[in-house]
Amino acid sequence: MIWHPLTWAFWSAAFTGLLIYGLAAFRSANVFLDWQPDRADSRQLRRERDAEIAALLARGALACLAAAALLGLIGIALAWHWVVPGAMCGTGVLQAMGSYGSRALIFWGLALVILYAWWVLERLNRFDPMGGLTWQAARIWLTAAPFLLAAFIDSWQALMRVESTPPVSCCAAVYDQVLGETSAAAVTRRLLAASFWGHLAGSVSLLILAVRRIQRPERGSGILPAAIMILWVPAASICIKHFWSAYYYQVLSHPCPWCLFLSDYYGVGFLIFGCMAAAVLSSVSLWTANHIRRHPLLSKPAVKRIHQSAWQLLAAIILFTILTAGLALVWRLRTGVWMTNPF
Amino acid sequence: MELTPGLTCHRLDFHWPGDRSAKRPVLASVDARFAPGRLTLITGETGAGKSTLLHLLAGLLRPTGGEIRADGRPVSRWPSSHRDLWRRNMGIVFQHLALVPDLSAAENLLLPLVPRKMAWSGMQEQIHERLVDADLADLGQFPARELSGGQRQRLAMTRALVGSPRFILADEPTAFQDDDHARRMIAQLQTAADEGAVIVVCSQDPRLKGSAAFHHRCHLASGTLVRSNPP
Repeated sequence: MIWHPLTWAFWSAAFTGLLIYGLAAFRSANVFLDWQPDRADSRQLRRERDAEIAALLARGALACLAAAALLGLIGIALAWHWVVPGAMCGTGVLQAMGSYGSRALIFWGLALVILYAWWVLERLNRFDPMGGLTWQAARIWLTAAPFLLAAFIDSWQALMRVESTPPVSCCAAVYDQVLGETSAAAVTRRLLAASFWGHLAGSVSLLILAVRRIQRPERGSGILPAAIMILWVPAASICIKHFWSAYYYQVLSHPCPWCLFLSDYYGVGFLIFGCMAAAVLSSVSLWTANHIRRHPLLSKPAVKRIHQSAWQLLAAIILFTILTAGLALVWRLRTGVWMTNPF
Repeated sequence: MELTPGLTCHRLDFHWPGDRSAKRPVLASVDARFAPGRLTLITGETGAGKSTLLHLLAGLLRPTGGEIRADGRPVSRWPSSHRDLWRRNMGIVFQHLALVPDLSAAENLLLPLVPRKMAWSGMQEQIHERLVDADLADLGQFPARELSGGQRQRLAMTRALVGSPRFILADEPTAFQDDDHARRMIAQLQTAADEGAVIVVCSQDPRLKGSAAFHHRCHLASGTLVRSNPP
């Protein structure tokens, strides 16, 4: 374990969140197993109280877990590389963590996406005094449990590995990718080109979908933005790493997404990846609200939520494009050449 | 579900938390209907559960079984955020009054009007009228703690009536009143009932038991509510 204040802050938030999550999950399990809204016997009334308390606890748990995830990200990106010999950014920290680090990040992301879907559902459910979506909310809350547990186990393993690991070489990890291109070079180039065009096509599609939902929030598909998002996120991540980051570093062949978080680059990584996270969460919100749109009592708030989420998606994609392609365009106008060529 | 106007109790159970309390429920399978435009008096010995029933009707306590419907809607099963909003339709006279002692009598009357989004001049007018009705016109600027017990009780009754709520619940509203003021309070409740309010009064006061103003009388004993005949 690393003796760093941020590590303790991370574990404090994470364990508090997990504890409150567990308490909420225990009550949600009661709701999930035997929810009978047509009855008014003492057992159903107890479950209704459980559902109300679970919703209160869950909001606290979500706040703690989101804070823990943010602290963990700050730790990897900005703090822990000081205690890992040879590391200069998050790449070195993740190298020291082995596969556990990347797995922990993925599981944290998945758990938070599910919990965000719960939050959207729960907020809409509050418009119905009889809580017509209480059972669904309990089910979503419980669905996050395996991802959250996996995130915890991997985070623990990752942080335990950090101190005992031999010195790492951040730059070697990055430059090996560039210099090691031999037989797989053509495949890699094709993959990068596909990612670039996929990312551009995804951005345009998401912009069009967002504008259409803003104009007509009561009509359209919720699954389409979510499906595009699943393809857009990896493609956009590859593009940040291989194309857009070069315009911030102003050097070629430094495909490192983690250096963007450093103060040398004004922590722009937080903004770029923050926009990406906002876009993902907006699409989750669109999907969830779209499901609820047909509920007789919740149709109005669901449509309002769709409208808000579409605006958020539009804003996130526009800001993301300005921060990535916008800077590249400025460079092109100033110098007359592109630094990176995806073709 | 049938949309019955007024307050309705369906198989209402209540016991305090704990195993011993569960064996001795305060209310057991109470069925009752309190209709709009009607005054209902609930009597019962001390500790029979009159105040508990009133708190359940007001949505301040949650039943352990059964439900309370207000105009057909199961308000007792709503989460607190919705019940709090619904309670804006309610005026309550608590047994221990629950006035804000440091606020003046007029300010105490202002409190229930604030969420009703009335115009300031309308609020002032209504507060003045109500203070006159309650024989408290000269005491509007006095802090509630400086009023006598009877005056405080009249202020609590006035606070329940201000804003003309749909439901009025009163717990021993005349306990500290002389005969004249008790009669005036009954008349005020009658006026509110004539305007369509649902009124439930819990009391052991013989003056209320003997009053002809009440349309219905119920007696609460051993956790059950039984309709009793007028004297």
